[in-house]
Amino acid sequence: MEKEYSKEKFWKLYETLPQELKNALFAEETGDNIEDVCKKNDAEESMGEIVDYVGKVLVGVLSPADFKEALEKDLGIDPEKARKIDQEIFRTIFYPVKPALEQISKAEIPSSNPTEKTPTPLKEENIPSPPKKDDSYREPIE
Amino acid sequence: MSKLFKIVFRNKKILPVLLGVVIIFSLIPSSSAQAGVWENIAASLSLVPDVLASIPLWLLFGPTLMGAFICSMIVPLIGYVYLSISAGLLNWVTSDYFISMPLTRGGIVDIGLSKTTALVNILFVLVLVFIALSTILRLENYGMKKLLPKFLLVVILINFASVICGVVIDIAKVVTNTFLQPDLGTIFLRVYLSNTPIGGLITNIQNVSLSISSGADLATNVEKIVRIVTPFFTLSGIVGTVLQALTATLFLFFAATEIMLFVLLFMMRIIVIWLLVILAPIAWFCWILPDFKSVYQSWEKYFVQWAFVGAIAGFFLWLQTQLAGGLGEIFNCTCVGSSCTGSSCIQITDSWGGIIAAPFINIINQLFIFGAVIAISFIGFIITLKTSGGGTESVLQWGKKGLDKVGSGVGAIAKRRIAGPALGKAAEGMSKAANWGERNANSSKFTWGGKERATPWAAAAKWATKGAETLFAPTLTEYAAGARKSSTPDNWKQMTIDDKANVINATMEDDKKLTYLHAMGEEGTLQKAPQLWGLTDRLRDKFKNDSHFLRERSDIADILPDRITAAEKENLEVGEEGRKTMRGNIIEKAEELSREIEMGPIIEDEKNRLIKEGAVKPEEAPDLAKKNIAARYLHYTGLKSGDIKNLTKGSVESDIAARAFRDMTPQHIQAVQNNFKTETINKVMEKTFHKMFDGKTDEEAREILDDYYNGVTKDASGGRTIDPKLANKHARVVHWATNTPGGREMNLPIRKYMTDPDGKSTANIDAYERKQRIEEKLNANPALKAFYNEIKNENETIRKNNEAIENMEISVREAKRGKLEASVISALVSNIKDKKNDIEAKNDEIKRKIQGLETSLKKPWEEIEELKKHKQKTK
Repeated sequence: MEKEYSKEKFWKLYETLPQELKNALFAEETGDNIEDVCKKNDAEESMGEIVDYVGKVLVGVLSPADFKEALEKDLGIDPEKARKIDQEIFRTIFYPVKPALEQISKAEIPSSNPTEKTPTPLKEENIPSPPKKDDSYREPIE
Repeated sequence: MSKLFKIVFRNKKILPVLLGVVIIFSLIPSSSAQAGVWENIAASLSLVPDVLASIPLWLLFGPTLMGAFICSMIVPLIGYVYLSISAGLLNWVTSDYFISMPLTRGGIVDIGLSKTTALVNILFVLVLVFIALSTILRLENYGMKKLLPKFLLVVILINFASVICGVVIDIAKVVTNTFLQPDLGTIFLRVYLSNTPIGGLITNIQNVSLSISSGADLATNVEKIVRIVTPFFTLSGIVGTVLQALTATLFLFFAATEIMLFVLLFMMRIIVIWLLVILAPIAWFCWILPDFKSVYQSWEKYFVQWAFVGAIAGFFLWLQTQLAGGLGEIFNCTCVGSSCTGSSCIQITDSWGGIIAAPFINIINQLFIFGAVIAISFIGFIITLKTSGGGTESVLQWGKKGLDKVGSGVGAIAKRRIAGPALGKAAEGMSKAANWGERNANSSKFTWGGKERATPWAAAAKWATKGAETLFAPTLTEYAAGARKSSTPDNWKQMTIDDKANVINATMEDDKKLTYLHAMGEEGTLQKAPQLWGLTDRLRDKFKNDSHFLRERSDIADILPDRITAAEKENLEVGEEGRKTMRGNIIEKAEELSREIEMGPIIEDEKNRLIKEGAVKPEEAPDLAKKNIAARYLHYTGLKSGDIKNLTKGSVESDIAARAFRDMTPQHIQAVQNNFKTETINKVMEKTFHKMFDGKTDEEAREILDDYYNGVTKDASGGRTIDPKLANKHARVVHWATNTPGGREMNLPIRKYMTDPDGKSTANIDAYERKQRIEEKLNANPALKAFYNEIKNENETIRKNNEAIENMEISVREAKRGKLEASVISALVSNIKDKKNDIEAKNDEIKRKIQGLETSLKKPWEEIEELKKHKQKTK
């Protein structure tokens, strides 16, 4: 049921996305980048789920800032690995479409049809919170 | 004596004869040692009747003939001087001094290069500051860091700009020198003068001037003049000389202009390379910055092209000299006035018409050499500009514009209606020549060393004609297409689609209709005018053999690939060789596709359409239907991802498109996603991938997917062959379907039928790929495969025993809870023990077998074991 809901939601949101994000969702390069990151971090077994979470960020149901937490909590990836994966996914996939992601995070996500079956509420469905404002003077940890 | 005078003056017939004799004898030289002069006298005497016959003509048209005579002498001389200047300049620009002129150092280059290097050094400092600030402010780090290696490289390289550019220029110089001969201009001059109609005329004029300037005696001078004057005593001589003079002037002008163009090109080469070397540091700096990379790319392109422009131009100049010399031997005919001598001269003297026809035909005969050389030279110049000098496109455009302006009206029509089609036909001619070359090579064979070989000359002819076709045919065809202007009615842009359709339907000429349809295709309106699609079919078919409309046919086929036929597809290729290859591809693909069950209904529909439209005899319809479908498949798979946006919705959603998309790349699928509505992409995906597995058991579906992933095609006998190109595309599609968020959301059945190395269902591409790699290794090593299957069977037995133990342990627990008899429990426990022993024994046996594995299989086995290992889930 949840899967059906997510799929429906995905296509509904997809129609409203800027072209840049539509491209990113279907780009072969996105898949290659995720694959590289997973291989580099010994996370091949979780690759499918990581792809799904990247998709959630790109359609705006999950904030990029919450991506790392989702990897840790939902996929059970250890914090250090999750941090590395998050950092690299951000760099290769989210950063190039950052303006578009900011744009959709400001836009109101269309409410679901009340006649539809109510899906199990997902944490990511909330309007994404604005990206975390890190200390701009802190050196990035690679 | 007085009597004699009386007789002479009374008898009017004798007077002209005597006059002629007097004239001729007045030319007798003082020195009788000059035998040539006596020969000339004899020749002159033979002209006496002509001289006498020309008197009325001179009396009637004296001033006109005198004017014609003077012009015939002077005008070609002007052309000759122009040619001489061009030839002299060519000597200069192709001399070692000019070619070896320092291009990367000295003079302006040193001054300019030092300035640009200094400027770029300042820019480096600014970039460093920018990177530092970006890092501090955390604006963006990665991009900057990524730039650093390039940055450092360029910092070093710009100090060697002169050396690096010099290496490229030196290589180009070596190639250029291969073609350039010393005094190339003089060779041209000689070749033109000795092998062309101008030769005799100019040589005679030259002889007079040389004779006078060298202080020769009067008789010798007069003799030289008589040589020039002689033709003017006969009508055919007058016609011949005037024609010669006119054509000589025209062709001298063309030849000199063509040489001058090459001269200008060589001169421009120096200036442009100087500028490019000076700009090198800036261009390399631009290479660092992603947004300015195109500046560097342009510089690189221009630099390489201009460095090598001399080589290409040199090749065509060399070709020209060879061609002129060669043709001169074949078309050996030199004319002075009406007198033509040489093996290829045509003699027409038995009729009055021949007086005019003979010199005319002979001049045409000679002009062929000249025309061919100049035509090839101009084509060579265009090819040089197009293939070499970067930025020369604009020169070419400028030239084309000039040509359009100069020849507006007749010229423009000639260019469009004659030059374009002529070049198109030339390309066709080359294809035919190549075809002949191949046929000739095939037919003239001899056996040597047990092998059948083509005779050397036939092989040479084959390669020459094939080479010419490959090199020039596409360029000529492209030029022919480009030479045409696709004009549309004035208010075309303001018209609605219906208006445009009405205009097209009301147009009488089919070629114009096709041009308008093409214009609609380019602006994207043909896709929305289904009422015109039938017309495109008819016109593409009508012009299918006309290379003149290749571009139109090709572009429209890219919009409506679901409607093209095998014949049209074949004729979209340039050259007979290309068409032959395409014909073969269509036949091969038709056989392959017709073996696929899902293609059955599609081919059947096409067959019915052909029969219904009466396009073909019913018995021929099945074969043609297969070929048409194959042609469409090939056209779709030949489309670039950028072409997808031009397709009509119907073309994207067609059944054959769905089949073709299966063999295309993820970029093509993404292009559908980007340019069509979601419902369209879903429909396409449904047909493309779901149909693959329709009605198949899981086992069969898994096998189909594995074959798809590995690019396996099956032949008529069921044999499997792997197409590496297809395998690569398919692997990319499988990756795309599993690794991109969009691909996963499409829920393609691909993921459903993926299996891991243990044969279990998986949605993980890594596990699936590991399985594929194992399969690959096993298929490559039958002994390893046999061993693998043996161990697999043992493991299967262990798995079953483990299952049995689990069940028995449950039974024991239930027996204990149910307080069953101790004997029953004990029997169960004993069974469990036996099974465990069996498992242990099996495990030991497996270990033993692996340990006893022959050495050659040990390493591949370890690799397989490694691939089979599941990585620990990252938790």
